[in-house]
Amino acid sequence: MLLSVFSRLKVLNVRELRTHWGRAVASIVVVAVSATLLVAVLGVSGSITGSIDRLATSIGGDADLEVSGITGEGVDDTMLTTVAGTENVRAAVPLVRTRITAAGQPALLVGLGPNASELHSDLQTAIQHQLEQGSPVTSAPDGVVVGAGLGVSKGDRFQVAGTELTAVAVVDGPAARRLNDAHFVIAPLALAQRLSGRQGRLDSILVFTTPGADQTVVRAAVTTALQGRAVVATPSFRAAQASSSFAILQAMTLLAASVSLVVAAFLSYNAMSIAIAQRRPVISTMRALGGRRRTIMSDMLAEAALVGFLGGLVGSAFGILIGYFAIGQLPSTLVQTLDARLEYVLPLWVVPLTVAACVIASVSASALAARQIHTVAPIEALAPNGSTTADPGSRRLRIAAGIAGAALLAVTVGVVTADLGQIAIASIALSFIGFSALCFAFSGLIINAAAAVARRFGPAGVLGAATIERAPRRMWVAMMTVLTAVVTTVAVTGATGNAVDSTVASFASVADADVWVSSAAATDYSSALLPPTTAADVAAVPGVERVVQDQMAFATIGDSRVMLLGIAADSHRDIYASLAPADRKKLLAGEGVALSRDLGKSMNVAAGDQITLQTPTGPRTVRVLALVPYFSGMTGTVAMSLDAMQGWFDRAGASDLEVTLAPGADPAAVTAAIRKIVSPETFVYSGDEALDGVASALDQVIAVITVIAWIVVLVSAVTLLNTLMLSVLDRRREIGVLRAIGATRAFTYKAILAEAAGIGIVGAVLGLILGAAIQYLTSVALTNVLSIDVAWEPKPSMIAIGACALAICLLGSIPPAVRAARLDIVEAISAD
Amino acid sequence: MALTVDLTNVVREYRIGGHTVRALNRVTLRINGGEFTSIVGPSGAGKSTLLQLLGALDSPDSGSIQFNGTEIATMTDEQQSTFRRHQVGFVFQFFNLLPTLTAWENVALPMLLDGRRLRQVRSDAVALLDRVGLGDRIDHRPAELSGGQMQRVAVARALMMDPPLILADEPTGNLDSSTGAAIMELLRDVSRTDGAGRAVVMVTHDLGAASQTDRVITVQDGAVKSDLAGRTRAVPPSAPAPRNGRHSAGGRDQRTDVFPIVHTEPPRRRGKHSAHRV
Repeated sequence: MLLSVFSRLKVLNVRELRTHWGRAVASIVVVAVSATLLVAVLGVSGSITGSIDRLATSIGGDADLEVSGITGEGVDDTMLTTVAGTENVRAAVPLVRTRITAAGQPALLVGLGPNASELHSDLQTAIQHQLEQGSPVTSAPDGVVVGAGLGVSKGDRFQVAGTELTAVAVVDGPAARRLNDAHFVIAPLALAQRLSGRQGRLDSILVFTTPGADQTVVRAAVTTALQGRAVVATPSFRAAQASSSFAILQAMTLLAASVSLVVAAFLSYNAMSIAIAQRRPVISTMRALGGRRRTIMSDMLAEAALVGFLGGLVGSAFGILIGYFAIGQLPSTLVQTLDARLEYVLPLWVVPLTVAACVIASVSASALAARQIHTVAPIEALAPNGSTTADPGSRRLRIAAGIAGAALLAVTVGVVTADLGQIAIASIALSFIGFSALCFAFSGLIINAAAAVARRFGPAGVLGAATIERAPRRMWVAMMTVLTAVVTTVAVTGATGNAVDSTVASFASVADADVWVSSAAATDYSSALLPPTTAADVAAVPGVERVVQDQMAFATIGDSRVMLLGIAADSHRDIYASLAPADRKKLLAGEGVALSRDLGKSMNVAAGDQITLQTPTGPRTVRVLALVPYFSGMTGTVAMSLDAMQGWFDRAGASDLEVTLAPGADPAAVTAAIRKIVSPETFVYSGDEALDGVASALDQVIAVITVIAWIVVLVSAVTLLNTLMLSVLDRRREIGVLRAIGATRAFTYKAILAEAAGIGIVGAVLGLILGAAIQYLTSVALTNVLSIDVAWEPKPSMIAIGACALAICLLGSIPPAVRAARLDIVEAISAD
Repeated sequence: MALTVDLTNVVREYRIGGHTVRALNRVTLRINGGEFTSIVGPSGAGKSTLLQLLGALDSPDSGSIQFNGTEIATMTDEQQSTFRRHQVGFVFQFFNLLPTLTAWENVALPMLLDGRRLRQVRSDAVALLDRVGLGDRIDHRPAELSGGQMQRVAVARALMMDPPLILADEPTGNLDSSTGAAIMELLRDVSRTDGAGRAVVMVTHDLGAASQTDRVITVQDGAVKSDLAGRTRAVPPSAPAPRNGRHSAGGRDQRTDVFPIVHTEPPRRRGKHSAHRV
């Protein structure tokens, strides 16, 4: 039975695809684009979480729990004894793990104590020989084991943080390669603490429980023993935290990829619709010969599935390639918080899921079109072949689509205005589908409008209008692809532009500082502390009137990785500037903290509530002074006084200095003087440069989404080209007759262009209107997600962007117009 | 057992531009196996409608169509498909060959639609092509064949399922006279060989071609105007006379070359595809 089905598919459908391979390739390419985007996005996110997970497993192996610092400063090494002494803890292995530069390359520094043999991991396997000799590293003072990836040979000397080290052993092999791709330096614990500036501190303690112990109980016991001064979690916690920091970008790029899949579905609908129209004589013949409707329909759907499958496979291959190269190009604000070397890790489910999504999109869209097979009567086999007209679809279906579209829009508006976080972004896709359904409900009016526009182009336009009216469904699909292109570019560029403008505006106060001295560039998070004497040194520079210190750090609050901001009086930090004067006073006095709006929502707290912060010095219960609109790119921000931050989180010093110049001081001269006296790793920039840095960091992220939006435009252009080309082929005889009775090539060319213009202009105008509406909804959704008020500002440039999208799509109409103009009259008339 | 197809009071109407047109008006006639019947008449007379109903391509609005005693007028679409596949072979005016299939694949198409594997039926398809004189063209596609050759492929396809009824719609309409004559010869041969029981019904404007058939039914304004014997053969004496149909016994119709019926025994069908080269 299956063999006979394959036999039939091979002869009737596959051969059709091979004969008209150009159309098949166009369909496959469009589906492949969607698959490429999906796999690339999922590959990047999988690589981030996978790399972190892989590193955690490579180091900790089957460790049951991990004790780590609330901030990036780690934990006090005295906690080791406490942890090791907790009931049901079999072994507690201390670790230092931090990013360093070794032999000129980024590497992972791992410091191991004497019980490193408790680890059953790639790390242990890599240094097995050394462990068997009783120590991770023997023989030489300042001797270390290095991974082969660093290119250092045994006995070589190299520098790390100003200290000269000796490579007493170089390890390679599969286990070493899994550990940060063999880019590591393993040192005795004390040496590693010295190299990383973490004397008396550990980055983590890996906990191994006794067999049969309840891990939840042990975790609670360790947390209690440590009095909440550290984070006690499973080793996979790091990967989960990293995933949340990538969530916004992932949500937006997935949204763009989903829109691309919708466009592919439109093309599938169109391709199927045209295939049935073209194969109508064949279908009617098969029906006359006794072929069943459902057999013919299922064979056509199998054909669509094949196109979806091939497109999914081809696209997945490209997606893997693009993802592989993309992980090296990720914005610095994203990778800064990761402590693992990013390797390309593609979860096993990504390609099957993508291929399945492509097949489902292709088959679902084609199924809607394939219903037209029911309209092919076997008696048509007795009729002469020729172009057919098509009805615009049943009234009932259009009414149902209208109701469904309105419902989807209502749901979208509800989700977006209900402030449900990142779900709001996903709901934007629903709004797109809803608008599409409404356009289908009003397809009659829309097609009439397109025909009316085409008629404006003179006698050639009259012919174009007739063609539009004769194939309303096909033309509606083509118009929808143009509309999709315009909507996508207008909504995406508009909304992201609004988001950037609003975010930059919310950070405007940072430009009020004359000079910033920071531990990081203006585009990055300054979570590292400046050398202790920096503030005093800068204050002593002639021309400096005032130096305000503040501090930034990453911390774990609950299950989330948040940003901490320690604020001093007269700070220009935006989160401080947006507080009411009374709240600022209280914050500086240590009477409370300010939370970003998104963190307040995730913690389910409001102004006036009390929260408990886990700190290295114990839990701190504080009042929430205000929920403030503030975008950090993390899952939230907590602002407190600098004194509180230094005391509670055991972090003396500052990560940033806000410098105010004395009246009349030369900014350039003072800045130069400051640069001379600070350490080489310290960054010095103006307030305007600080603000530009914020915008630049956002632009990096937005650029990815914008590129995807324009890819959707290209896909739409291909769809329009496909539609018009098939329309020309379908009407060869008709065009031949027109030419035979005196129509010029130019007239024929103009008729096709007029057809495209009618579809394109109506699609673009509708696209601008719907694009503005979706831009508004997206701005509201981004307000929820980014935790700032994103102001909706439709700009005149949107019209230009929409016109560009339209122009690109209309470029797709030139090849079919040229083809129609060049048709041989005799051949065309005898075509069937 | 010889085929009989009985139409009784068959009515078929169409709604065109707000008007109802009665294409067939209470038609009653019988088609017999072993006969080569032509249906003639002016354009719009109802010839094609009659052919469509005989082949279950369409259903009448009222009346009965009994195919060997089985009512086909009220069949579902699924039943009609099965009926057409096994009981009817079609020959179309425009050949209706699938352009991407070779000649033998086009012949085998009904088997493919019936759920058979192509390879399994290749030999039968090739044998049929051989029978119609295209044994050396089995791998040619329609674009590589002449009009006459394409029509012969279509005839072979119509025979693939060995149906008792062959329906031909203007089979020579797209062919020159000599090619058309060859096709007519082929169709006549189909109706005569392979034993008794197979009926061939042809719709044509070509009165000359019609006169070559055993029986000429003239349709006008949706009704059977005349039902006369043709030039050649006769209705066998064992076949009962159709209800309300007419076979003129003697006399000559000035419009066609028709002759009195001569009652003879029809040759028996021997095997599925008896070899006969045209």
